[in-house]
Amino acid sequence: MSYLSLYRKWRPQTFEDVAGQKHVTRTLQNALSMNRIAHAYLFCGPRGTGKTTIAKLLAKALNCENGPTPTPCNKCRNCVGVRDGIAMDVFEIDGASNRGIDEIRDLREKVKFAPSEGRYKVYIIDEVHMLTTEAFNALLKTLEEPPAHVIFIFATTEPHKVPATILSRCQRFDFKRISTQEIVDYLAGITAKEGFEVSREALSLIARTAEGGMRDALSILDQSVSFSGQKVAKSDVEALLGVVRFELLQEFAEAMVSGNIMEGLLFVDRLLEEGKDLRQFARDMVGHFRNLMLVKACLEDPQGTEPALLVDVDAAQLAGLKEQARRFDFQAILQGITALSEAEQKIRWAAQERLPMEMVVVKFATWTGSAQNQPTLAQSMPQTAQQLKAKVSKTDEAEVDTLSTPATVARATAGQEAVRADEIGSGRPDDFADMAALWGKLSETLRQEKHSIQQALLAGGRPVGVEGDSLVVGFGPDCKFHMDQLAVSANKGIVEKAIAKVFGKPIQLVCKQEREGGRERERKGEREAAPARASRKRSPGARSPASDDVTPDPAAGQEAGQGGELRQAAPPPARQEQSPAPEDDPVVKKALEIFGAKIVKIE
Amino acid sequence: MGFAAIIGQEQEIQIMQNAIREGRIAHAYLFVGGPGSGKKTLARAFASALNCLASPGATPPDGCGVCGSCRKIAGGLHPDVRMVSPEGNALKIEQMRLLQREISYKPYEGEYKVFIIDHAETMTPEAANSLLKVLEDPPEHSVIILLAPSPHAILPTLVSRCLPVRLRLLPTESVARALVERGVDPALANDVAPAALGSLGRGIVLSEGAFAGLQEEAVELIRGMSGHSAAEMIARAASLEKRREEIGLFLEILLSFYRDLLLLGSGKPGSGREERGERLLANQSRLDWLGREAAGYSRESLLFALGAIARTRELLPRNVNVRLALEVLLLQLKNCRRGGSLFSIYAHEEKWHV
Repeated sequence: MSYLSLYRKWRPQTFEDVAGQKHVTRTLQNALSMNRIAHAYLFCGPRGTGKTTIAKLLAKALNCENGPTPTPCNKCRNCVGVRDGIAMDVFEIDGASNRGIDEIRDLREKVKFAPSEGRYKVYIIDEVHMLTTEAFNALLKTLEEPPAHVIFIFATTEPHKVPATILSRCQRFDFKRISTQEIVDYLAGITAKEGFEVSREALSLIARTAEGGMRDALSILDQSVSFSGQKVAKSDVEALLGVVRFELLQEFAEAMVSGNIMEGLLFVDRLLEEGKDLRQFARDMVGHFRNLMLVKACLEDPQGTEPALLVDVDAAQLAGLKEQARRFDFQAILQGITALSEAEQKIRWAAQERLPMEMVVVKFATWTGSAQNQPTLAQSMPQTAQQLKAKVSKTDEAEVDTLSTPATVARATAGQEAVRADEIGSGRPDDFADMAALWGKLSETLRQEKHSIQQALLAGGRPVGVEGDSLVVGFGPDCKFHMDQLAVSANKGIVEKAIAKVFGKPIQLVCKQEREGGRERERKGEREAAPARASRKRSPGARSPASDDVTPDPAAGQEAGQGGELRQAAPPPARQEQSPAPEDDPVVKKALEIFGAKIVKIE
Repeated sequence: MGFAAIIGQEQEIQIMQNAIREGRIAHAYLFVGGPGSGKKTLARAFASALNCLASPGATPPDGCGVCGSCRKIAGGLHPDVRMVSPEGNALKIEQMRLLQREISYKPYEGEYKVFIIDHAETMTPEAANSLLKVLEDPPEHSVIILLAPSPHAILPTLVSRCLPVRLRLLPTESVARALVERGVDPALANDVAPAALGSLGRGIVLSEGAFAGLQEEAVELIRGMSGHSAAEMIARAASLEKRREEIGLFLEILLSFYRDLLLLGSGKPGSGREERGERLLANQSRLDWLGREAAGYSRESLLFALGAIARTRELLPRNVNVRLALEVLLLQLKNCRRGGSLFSIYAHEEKWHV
């Protein structure tokens, strides 16, 4: 006989051998000994839990020469026939291939003939959920009152696809997933008989991966033996399954939560190079974060619940989990679970497997980074200025173009911007970094004190300067609402309190209206209005006042610092009051920009 | 064509060879790996090794490549080695029924009947279920090999009946070399290899025809994000829509550029890591430009852009209005660029739902 897969070779041949389905085998054995055998059974449950096996055992028990008996002899002709699949009276039908009404009609025809060798004709219909509706209906009458010598056994993984009229005519048995411990014990028995040397940890890893299916477990065992010979260590199974070791899960969680992007990205790359299944990895990571959540909950439990009760890991891993759980806060852990489960779903359809995981890494950094990056704002300033400089001096003409339509002005302002970039690059970072940092801190303080409304209102403006003991904040015309709301004394009081906290002395809040889009701005105000606008464009979303959201502000701060005086933002120019040129109207400008049109004067 | 024809995958080859040497040939295998990872080649090599006439029992087991059996297998003519491929878009139940009938016969001239089911992920539910029984208890001397991009794309009850063998991603250099061996121009191969991200199949697709032109187009599009008007974006969407068969590839290229922008914008300079990180980038030849471009985006907006492209990719096969989908995508991408936003006068309303 050629080589047989372990799961075929070791299919249990007695009810006692079946692992983990005591509730089924016991009931059936009792029914057999009391001779209360139903005419139709439905076995349902997850894959590899023993449905087909028990169906065959039942067939054997019914037709055994000493039967019907709860303990078939396994020696008589009928028992052997069932075991080898050659018994005349046991029909193993593949419901998925023979799913049509014709096959069922055929079956109905033959049902009435008496069994040829044994006592009963046993019809085992596997994957019964795949029968067509017509086939099911054609079966109903036979199933309700079959001839006395006929027993039907249906097996399926998806009982919800079986019509209710069929269900109500069968005795239903629900098979449970087999517990990890039961699988390990069973595997240990088989390895002993086969002469394999498989370590206990390896077996337990196999059992956990099998998720309650014995066939899966035996397949993996089989594969491990093919892979590494008669001796199998845990590491072999890990390599084979592409399972990621606990330490690596820990490492990746660390990189995620600490917002260390590069570390995380390289980690993902390494996994791919090692041929790991990223979706499996995402699942493992969700499991890891879940463990962290449970362990943290235990750690914070006043009754001091022992985490080992909830988490199924060994002692060394538990220690690692505890250590990590202590440092992570609940929010990060929960975010981790959400982001990773989402990624796991996306990987399936992604064109580039790695992208969803990479996005998790970066996303996490933007979340956690918002709080942590605040202090590094000032440090990152010179670099941002560099970027700005690079961006501007590359004469992103196009961008300038959108700000001011006439080409001549555009060129002029582009030149100006280049100059400004130089100033920023070589200028005095301390002056403006100071202001920017304080402004960022103010916003952060408001957030921390749960005044996010006031924070949002303030985000509509930009600091123009400090004059005596008042802080002047400029608001563009599109942020008039913000300004008006801040004038309300309740809001103003909250902000001023926060200002006092940040600046260390009581300072008044003065809101000023800035005008944007005037010709004045192009001529003179361009230099400050542009960054101000840019800053608002990236006005912090509720969750991410990340460093780069505030970066352009320093430019404004710098100017205030340089000037050493309060710069009246765009004082109303005389000409504008008369009649503003149509192309200066922000709405008209936007329309021009959107449609790429020209203004034509119609006489 | 023996195991030597496979690029990389040493460990996997060894699994298969061990199985033959120790006589532990499973009745069903599942080879998992992206397009071009070598699944089909490995399956054929395995079939050759099983049926080779010249060198039965060779160590390590392998097909000789010259005997009648090996030549027939290579040519797809061997009566006992069958390749089942999707008819149209799917593997149908009739094909599985045919397979079940054929597999019940004894091998005609070889040692083993080998059935290779390509694109097993396209099996209809009926086809997959009808395979369950035969896959559980196939006749002696038969081996069924399923090929699929991922085990999750297949009915779990099928997976648990097979021995899974997972193929790995290839290093960029191997992809480049393999492309050149297939007659791709070396310069193009070097350009394409990093974008293939470890999959030779992707590399082959990319190196065909339109890639270079589309890449140029993507560069131009991204470069113009801040300058071009909305009308121009809409015109571009229209021109793209006319070239339906290129849209998928174009979106992939866009995806790879935005991914690079994201990675570039995420490196922390000065920590010495960016050098190691650089090799993660797909578009190595345009690093300078990408670096400059990256300054124009915040991380949130890039995450949003990547999400938007991926969403569009998923939508396109689902009978949407292609033109509208592309227009929306391009305008969204424009919005992600600093200074490119159409709605800057309402800037404070701008939020990135990442």
